[in-house]
Amino acid sequence: MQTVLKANNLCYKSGRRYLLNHINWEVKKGEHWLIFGMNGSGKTTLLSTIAGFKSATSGQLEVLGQHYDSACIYALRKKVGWISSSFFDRFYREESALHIVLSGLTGTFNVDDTIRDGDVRYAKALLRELRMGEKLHQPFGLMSKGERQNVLIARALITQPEILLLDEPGTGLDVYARAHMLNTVRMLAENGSATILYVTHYPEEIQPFMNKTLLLKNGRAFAQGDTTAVLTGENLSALLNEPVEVHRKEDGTFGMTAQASSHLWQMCYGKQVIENGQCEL
Amino acid sequence: MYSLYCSESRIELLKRRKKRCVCKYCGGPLTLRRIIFHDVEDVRVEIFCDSCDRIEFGVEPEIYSSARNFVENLEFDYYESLDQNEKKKQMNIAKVSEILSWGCKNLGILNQEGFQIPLEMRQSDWGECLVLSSEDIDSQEKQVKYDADSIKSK
Repeated sequence: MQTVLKANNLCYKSGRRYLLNHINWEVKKGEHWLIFGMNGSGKTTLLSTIAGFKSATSGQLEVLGQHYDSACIYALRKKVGWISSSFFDRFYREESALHIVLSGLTGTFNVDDTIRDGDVRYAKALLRELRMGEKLHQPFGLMSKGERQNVLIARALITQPEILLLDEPGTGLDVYARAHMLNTVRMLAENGSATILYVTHYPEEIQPFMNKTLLLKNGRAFAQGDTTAVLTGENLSALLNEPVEVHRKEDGTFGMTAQASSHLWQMCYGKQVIENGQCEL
Repeated sequence: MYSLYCSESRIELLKRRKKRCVCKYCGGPLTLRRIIFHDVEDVRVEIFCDSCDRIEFGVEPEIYSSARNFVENLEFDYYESLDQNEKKKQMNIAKVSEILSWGCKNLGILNQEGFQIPLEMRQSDWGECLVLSSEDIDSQEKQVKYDADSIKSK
């Protein structure tokens, strides 16, 4: 099977801290990966490196047989659709929905002279399909979280990418929009249109087509392989440092039950004695 | 055209554009700002309008000027549902700037290096008003009467 993505000792270091720590990972055509990990485990950093918006501090990354360099970066970025509210929220504020969707075609944050009339029509059609037809010119910063997510979905899909990176795409979407998004992603996966790399914190978003799973912990690849083998209670309990039960439903989706402690509630509302910064629970 | 950035440094193109163009919303100067850190130098920067706090590709200043006059003098309003304020006016100017740029490109007189023909902006057509005093109006009325009388006598 053709290799779509290959990371070899991939590292991203910020100061003294490794956000990605020697990741070795290979994605082949026909595979659709679930990427799972706690907040701060390196999921968004990994995806932004794959999308070509961050460069690794060491190691190699091959995307569709190419390395990101000045000769191919714009063309390669267009083959990798990227939906990440946590990344784009830092850059877009006043830009309109239409501007942001069209920027997907340039592989940059901006819109330039290469945009054609048909591109604008297509961008508008995508936004209308995502129920954003009345907000084409609205600034990104004035949109709700779900609306921003829809704009980024349109931005990612406008180039008909070969790889689709979804960084918590369901966050902020209403019930209809989330079902719409999941159906679209499922169809892309089942038709073989794109290789899907899907980051989520929500077990109900884990779909049967996500046949592979990568677990990240503190920037390291904690476990990777077939979803049925990797997504187990034992692995997730070790990943989250809390007891987790995993059960697979009849329709192929997953459910998880975690018993998170409620120390914070006790600290704030329970009976406690605080002396010299010590909290007695 | 999609291979544009492979044939020349994108930064050079952006630098020329920054020097020549203005923000299509506020008409202010554009700057080059580093947006992200990346090994590939080309992808780090974008053209930015500091006063709008916006990533903005800009328009030719002549187009902005015409668009602004059009919006102000003809009360053009593309965004009727929005409240009247400065932001809405800027959005309207940007919209007209887009339309004018589109038209000029289609006519073949504008490309990524700017206008390809010498321009002669007719500054006096817009943005100026003639203040007439009552004496001026009286003299004009007399003139009109005189002309009318001369026509009748013929």
